[in-house]
Amino acid sequence: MNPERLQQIEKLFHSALKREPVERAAFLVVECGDDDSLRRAVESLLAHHEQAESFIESPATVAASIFENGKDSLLAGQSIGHYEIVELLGAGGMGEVYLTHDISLGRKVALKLLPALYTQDADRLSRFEQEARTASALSHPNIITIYEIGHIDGYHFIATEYLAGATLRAHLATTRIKPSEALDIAVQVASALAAAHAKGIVHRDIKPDNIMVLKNDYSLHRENYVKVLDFGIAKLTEAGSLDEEAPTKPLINTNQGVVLGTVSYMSPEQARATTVDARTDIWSLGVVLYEMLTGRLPFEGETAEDVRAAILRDTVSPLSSAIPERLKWIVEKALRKDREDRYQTARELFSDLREVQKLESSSEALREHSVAAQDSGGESVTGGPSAIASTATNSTNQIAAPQTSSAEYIVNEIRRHKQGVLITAAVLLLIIGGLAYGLIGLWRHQQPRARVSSQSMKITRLTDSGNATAAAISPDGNYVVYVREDEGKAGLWLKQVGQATEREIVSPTDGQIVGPTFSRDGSLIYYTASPAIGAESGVLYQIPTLGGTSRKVSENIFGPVGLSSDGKRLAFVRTVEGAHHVDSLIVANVDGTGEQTLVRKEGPAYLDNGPAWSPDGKTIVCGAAVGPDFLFESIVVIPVDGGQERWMTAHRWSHVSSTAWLGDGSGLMVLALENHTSELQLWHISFPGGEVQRVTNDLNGYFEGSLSITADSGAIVAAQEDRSSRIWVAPVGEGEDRARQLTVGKFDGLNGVAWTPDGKILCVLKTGDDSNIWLMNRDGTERKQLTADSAVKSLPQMSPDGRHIVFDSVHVESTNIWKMDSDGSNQKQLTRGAFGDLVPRFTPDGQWVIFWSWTESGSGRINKVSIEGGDPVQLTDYWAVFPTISPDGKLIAAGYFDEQQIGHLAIIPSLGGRPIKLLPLPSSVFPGVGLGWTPDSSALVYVQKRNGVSNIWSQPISGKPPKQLTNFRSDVIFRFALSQDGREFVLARGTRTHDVVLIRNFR
Amino acid sequence: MGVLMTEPSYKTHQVTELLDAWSHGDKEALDKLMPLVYDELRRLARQQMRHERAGHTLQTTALVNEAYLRLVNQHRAQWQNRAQFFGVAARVMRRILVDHARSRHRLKRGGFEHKVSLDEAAKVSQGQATDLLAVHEALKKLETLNERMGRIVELRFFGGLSIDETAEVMKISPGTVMKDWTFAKAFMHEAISNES
Repeated sequence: MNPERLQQIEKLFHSALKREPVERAAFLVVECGDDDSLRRAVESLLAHHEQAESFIESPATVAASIFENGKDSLLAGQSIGHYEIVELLGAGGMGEVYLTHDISLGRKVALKLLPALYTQDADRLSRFEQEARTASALSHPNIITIYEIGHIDGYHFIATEYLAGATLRAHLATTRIKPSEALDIAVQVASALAAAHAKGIVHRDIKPDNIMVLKNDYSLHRENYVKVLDFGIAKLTEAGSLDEEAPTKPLINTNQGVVLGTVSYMSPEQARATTVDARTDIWSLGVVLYEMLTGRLPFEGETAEDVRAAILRDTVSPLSSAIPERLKWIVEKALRKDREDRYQTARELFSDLREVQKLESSSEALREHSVAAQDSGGESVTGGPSAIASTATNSTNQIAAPQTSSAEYIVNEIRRHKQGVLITAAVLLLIIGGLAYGLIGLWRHQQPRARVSSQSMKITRLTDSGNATAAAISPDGNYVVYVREDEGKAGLWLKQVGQATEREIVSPTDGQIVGPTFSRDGSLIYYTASPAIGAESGVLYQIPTLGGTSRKVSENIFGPVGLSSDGKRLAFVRTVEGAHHVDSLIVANVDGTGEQTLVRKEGPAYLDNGPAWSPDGKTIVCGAAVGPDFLFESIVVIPVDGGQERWMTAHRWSHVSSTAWLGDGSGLMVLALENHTSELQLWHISFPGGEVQRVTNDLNGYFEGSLSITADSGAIVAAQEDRSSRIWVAPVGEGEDRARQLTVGKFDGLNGVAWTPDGKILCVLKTGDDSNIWLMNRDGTERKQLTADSAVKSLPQMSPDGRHIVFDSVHVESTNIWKMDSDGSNQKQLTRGAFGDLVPRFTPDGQWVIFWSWTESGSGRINKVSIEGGDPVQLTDYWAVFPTISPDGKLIAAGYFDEQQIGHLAIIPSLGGRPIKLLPLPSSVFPGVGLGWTPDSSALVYVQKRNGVSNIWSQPISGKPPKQLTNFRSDVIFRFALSQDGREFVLARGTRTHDVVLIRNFR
Repeated sequence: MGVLMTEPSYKTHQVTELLDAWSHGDKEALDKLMPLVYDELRRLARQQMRHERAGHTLQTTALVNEAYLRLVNQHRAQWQNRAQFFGVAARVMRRILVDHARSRHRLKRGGFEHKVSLDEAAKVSQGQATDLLAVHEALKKLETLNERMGRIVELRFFGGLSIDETAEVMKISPGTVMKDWTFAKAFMHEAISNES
């Protein structure tokens, strides 16, 4: 378009607007004559005009304040009327939800504060309040009870009963729901809807996010207790007239993933923006039921518009034959496009669902079906579904408790803040949070969450160095090349498949190597090397597979390269950082000449997982961000000879890592991270269909950027990791032989070990999916569990007077410092840093807790907070992390970065200020594992890892050479603490390895 | 506003002079002005966001007014200056907000460690606010086609100005602003909807 054209369009737009809506089409036909594109452009704008009523009417800062809301939340102890804030339960576009204590009635109440965005429009607000008041009159076991709707001190709020549980959305993300349970949930929702409809209340926004399931354990065949949330809330997002029957106009929301989530449950009449009645809820429940039964949505599309179109146009693909006919028929009837053909009342739907439930539970057919589906895991090791996160947002009453530890948080933060070289090393030791090694098996077409293939996947470990980060297999499947990363250096190794021998082909140098790739004939290996871990760009080299020297091919390469099937061309991403960020997808000859830019985008767009060239050479696929804010990631398809880039699939992940084409071009294998999970898994995406299926559910996960496939698609290589940690006590100066192992779990102490003032051990143990704080004697006896909740807690420390325990804990958006009484009662949040507050330590007087915080700009600062609460006091205005206060209370030791981003150990006055002394920080030392002091405050104690073995050392603050304090000959130390008498260590110690595996029979 | 400036600081002199210079046609003055206004607005915005609560609106206009009071020597300030200032401020607000949004996805676009934590996953479903970056991108498109409309959106959306204030700053009639605004909204809505 050019300015003149816009002017032309604008003129017609305004002329058309002056006319009655019914006359506009005819008017435009006349005015535009032959110029169809002009007519369409004006028509489209007129349509958008209708939807844009409230769009960008609120100034941008209001939107920004929504971003901020989750961060600058109300503090525990603050009151709104008679509600005293206890903690923030969740935050989302529809406001923040707090757990509060109702002082007047002495009960727990969930308080939802409505965002400013929706409460400024007085009309809209009063419409909402009216509806919410009607809804509050509903009294039904499956509808959340509303206590009060009102406004006090400028806060508009809804007070409801407090429910501890997870939303159906969270369950769908992590659990396979059996047909019998799906039915049970649907029956209860239908019952709730029937009650609401009887009072003339339409929910309008039935979706899994608005359905709470009050039991976490699906495996026990217990009845789930369901509560439907947010009746009437949907009203709040509607612009438009006061008329109850007014068309719904969804608030413009450009976040693609979110739109998809919301649009997917829309009824055809909502999609068409016509009037809405109770039958719209019946449709939406039909969609939810379909999703529960199949694990996927009935109507999908790449964009919200596509989904809308699919809702209006497409017929639903039939449900599996394993689903009882009657249930299939119910779903089909609920999803009839013409609402006159649909169930007319929720009561009818409820009766039919109940009927099936009765029939099926007597025949047990459903149960048998579901057991069969679950048990056919083939030869693979069985295991539970991977980490369950009961997290969802946008729901009224739900404790978001992501299963991640602070260490993992650190890992991720560091991943994001690439300056964190110092800690990155530490991070390799810090990774926590996985579950037992296991593989559920293969997920089949059509029903990725409901069916397991009978075929068994075979996984063979190819390496045992334990430090493999990226691997590639030669097209003929004979060779595997992989990166070994150790102590900040990376080298390349070659191994013949089936042979024990392997050899180094690129010797270890500082920095990282990503994306080793074989040439099509297998004679060369390409790889991208960069001098610093986390660097955005590297240099592309090639080296002969069977030996020789590396040759530079090209520079400024972002991530791995992809080779064309004829082996003559390369594809890669180049990224220019800075204020004017540009990402380009470039193809070039294999020798680096003849660069040609296929796509150029302003701002970060592509991921660093390397483009992959289709076998027919026509298309390139590449990981890409969905929307400019990187909330979701997916894969784009770029035609090589020009043409529109498009999404390969409508599926969105929270992270997409490596991709590899199947040799016949029928699809891609992808390492990707599903939302709400913590491990990369292997997926299959069909091409061009874009149908997605998860192939592995391995609880240990795979390593970023490590996927490669043979030419015949018979085998995949990837790097997989394994961790294990147990708690030990070891006398200073000794090794394995004098150390005592106290626990036999898999992840014991990974999230922290500490001594109590009376010589007991405080630690974090993982039981099931939860990490909780335990107390035990120094010989491992008399174990006592102090906490029992699903929030991930790390690094507990007991106060010198033995009264309190502090720890960091992940809630909702970030990690913060919490305290509790030493018996585990009375948990309270102490800090509210928005970007993460970590690693609490008591000062010797027990008055303060020292910790460190991420800042908005991505550096670390040391702070302290009174054990009684209040605002934290900043102790450093420069990058310093992992603070530890000396036993005499005078000094703080911390990891520190100087102006050149070089890491040191810094000695800082305990009241804050510049470092008074810098001590060397060898690259083999990991302050994140724990920094300690000797009891006389004369030396620092830290863990140093050499040749894959960790030992503890002391570094006198005088600057004298360090001294080794333990004598272990194997294993790594994840956590440690030195006893107050300086004689004994408590350790979390074990193995963390990542090795190359060969996967066969994955299709 | 509660701002008491006892002594005009060096900064206020500077800003006032730069505004003067800019309004007298010195284009370079704007370049010098932007960072000063940027710093102040950013500081104020953060301060306000910290105190911001659901149910209250962060008043851009109030913010800009406060920045103006802080930065411009009142004795010498003229209306012309004030209008200019609002123009600069709207652009600066845009930059602040876009930067803010960008910094969020910089976080997401990680380096190379292989895990995205669950709390990240939790964040995923929270970004439900109107997407500033998308608005920013659509606005860039509009600006290339019709500068005046772009300016109006910038002043209205990023600067928080009313129709009348926008008209005053731009020295055009409120009717024209309204007309442009109506079209610009439809245009931007379409641009954002089509962006996938």
